[in-house]
Amino acid sequence: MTDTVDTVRPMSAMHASLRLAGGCILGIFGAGLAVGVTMSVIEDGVLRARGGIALSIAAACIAIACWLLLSMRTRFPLPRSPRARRSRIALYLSLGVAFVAGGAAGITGHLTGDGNGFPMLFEHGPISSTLAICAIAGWLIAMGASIYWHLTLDEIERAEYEAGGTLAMYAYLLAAPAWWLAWRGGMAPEPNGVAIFVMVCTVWSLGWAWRRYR
Amino acid sequence: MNNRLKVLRAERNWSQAELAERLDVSRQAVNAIETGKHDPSLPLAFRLARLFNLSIEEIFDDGHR
Repeated sequence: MTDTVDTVRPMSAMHASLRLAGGCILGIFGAGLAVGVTMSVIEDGVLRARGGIALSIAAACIAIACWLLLSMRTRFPLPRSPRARRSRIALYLSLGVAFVAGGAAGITGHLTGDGNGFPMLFEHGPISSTLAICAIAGWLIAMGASIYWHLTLDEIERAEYEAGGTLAMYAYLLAAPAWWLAWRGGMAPEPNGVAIFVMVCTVWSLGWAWRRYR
Repeated sequence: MNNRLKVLRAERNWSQAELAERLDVSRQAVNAIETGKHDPSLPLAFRLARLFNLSIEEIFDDGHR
């Protein structure tokens, strides 16, 4: 009888997890280092030897990360169903766009004097209009990718997201007015849109995970 | 809702991925239907019935027969 686990997986789970974690850590470290050196070069107007070495290390880290992650292809093969394959590719592409957009936000934030751009986006303070426009543009691209990805989902996956979305909607309908009224009643600080956004996204993710893995 | 999907699939020696490919859904979707975590929509139930050359009632049982 055909088993429920139907793919040959020569790589052990521990081995695959180590490769995945190592690839992600090295990739993030390499990208961060490359962004840091780039900002330093933009600030000083010259690439010094130390910066060149750091850039080489960053390139090596990114190359090793790519190799580690690409070696996982056998562990996580693309689905055979055309719809699921399109969905998976869209997901990988959107992750790649998010990774590049994060680096771009970091550089833009530095150039516009907003400090470290990416974390600045999640704080509750003013930012320059340039960084705001770049962030909104990045968000629009991400939303476009997300809409395409949702269109490729099958009915079961869509039901999982809808379950999370319904929970998130009720979390929003509960939290936003309650916080606003509590603020007006002098019992809470001024409502923070970013905090509510993060809470709604967290509830959505938890709802999706519950529906998928229950 | 109970179903005979796993048995029917095994009779044809299809993996979940193969069945998912024929239905154009994800492998996780096939697993969710087989384990009863998700009841398929009517269009998907019809696709399953046509694929196995059976009626929907011969694949799915809602316990009221």
